[in-house]
Amino acid sequence: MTAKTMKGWVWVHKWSSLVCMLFLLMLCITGLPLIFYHEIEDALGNSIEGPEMAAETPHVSLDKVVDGAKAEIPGWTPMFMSWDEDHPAEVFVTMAESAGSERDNTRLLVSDMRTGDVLGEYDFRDTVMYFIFKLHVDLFAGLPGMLFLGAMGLLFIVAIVSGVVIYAPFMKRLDFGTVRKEKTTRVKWLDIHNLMGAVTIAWALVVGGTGVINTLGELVFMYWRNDQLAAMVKPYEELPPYEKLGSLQTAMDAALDAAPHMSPSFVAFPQSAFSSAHHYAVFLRGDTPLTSKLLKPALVDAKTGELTDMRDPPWYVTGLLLSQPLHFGDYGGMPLKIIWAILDIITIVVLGSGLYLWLAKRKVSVESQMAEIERMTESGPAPQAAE
Amino acid sequence: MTRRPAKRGTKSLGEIFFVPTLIGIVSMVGLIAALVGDGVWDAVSWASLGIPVIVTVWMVWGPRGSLQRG
Repeated sequence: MTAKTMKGWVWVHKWSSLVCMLFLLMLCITGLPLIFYHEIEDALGNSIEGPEMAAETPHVSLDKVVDGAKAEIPGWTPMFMSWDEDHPAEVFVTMAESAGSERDNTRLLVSDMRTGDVLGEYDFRDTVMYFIFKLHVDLFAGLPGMLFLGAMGLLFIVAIVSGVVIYAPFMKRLDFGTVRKEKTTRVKWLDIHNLMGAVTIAWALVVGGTGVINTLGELVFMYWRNDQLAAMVKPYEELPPYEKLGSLQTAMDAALDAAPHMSPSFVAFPQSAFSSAHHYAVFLRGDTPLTSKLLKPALVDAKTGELTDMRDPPWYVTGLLLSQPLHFGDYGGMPLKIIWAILDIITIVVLGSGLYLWLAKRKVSVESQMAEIERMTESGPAPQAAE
Repeated sequence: MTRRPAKRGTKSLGEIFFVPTLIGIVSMVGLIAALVGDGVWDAVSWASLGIPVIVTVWMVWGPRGSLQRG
């Protein structure tokens, strides 16, 4: 590679990193507590759980859960109902003034699957963790904020790739992982930057890449709604929305009958963002570690309780769903979460040391910087980072 | 990328990227393992994704880290 090409890569690495630096630092720092979202909420006493009962206590009809939730907030109606794999005794009911309301204007109830009683309301928007979550996901700016962070994530990927390219000349005369502690602070941090960057390449690319994919989540589901969902409920196109809904339990039974070995992840009520005006959309998950991350939509007529259609999700939904665990690191127990946190901290050090190296280098004249790059590419002695 | 004949004391691209590539492959195994299974698969994932962490700690704070080479 010529000195000129290498200079180009150095330029790409410098500017892609600098532009996304602040946001990436924010993402890594807010991401750290988010790895332990559930654990922290539990510790803060924000989780709502039902009383201890025998493990085999049967669950009540979902219609009873619906009635309980409606009685809790009169005039409101359920929009979603969702289950957490780790807490099978509880069900989350998202309530809205009408099923078609904005998703921001909702209240979240937690009900007991064994009694149908509402256990409490989860004011998740008032928690510190939600603040951190919103900052991490969309900077409190909705879809534009989300897409902006996605663009920053793309720059991060560019920074990683260009970092790999310019790693080579730095390492010509050094063994892998050498940290020259006895040299100047700048040389030491250059070595640490190169070492920590090199060992986290795969992890950072995967977490960064899946993060970018997750920022497209809203758009992907909007597309799915107009694509597969629209095709599944085509026969209902001309019908006016159902005024009165039939039994949710009957609908759930129909969905589960059609998909043995699957369990419900969430139900979208008619007119909500994930369903039509005439269906309970039951999203089912599989019973293996891999298929439990995937969702299969079953559309059940909300009046008759009969299955209209059930299909495997299209590739782009599957891709999005698989991107989630790979970004969150929540798919391999607590040890994986701890490793995720350490790798996140290492990434923070890579970012911080990169910023430091740039600041320290700004004091150096352009001439000596160019001379350094020439040396690097001419197989000269290992660059000693001008002081 | 053109490969320059290695001069005395300088490393080839293969030498430079050998360890990072190895760690990258092991990391990918770890990232995927926990996704496809539980139990032993999770353990495989912890072991392989632990490697970049252990290498970092060893190189920065371990006995080798304080030696000057190269």
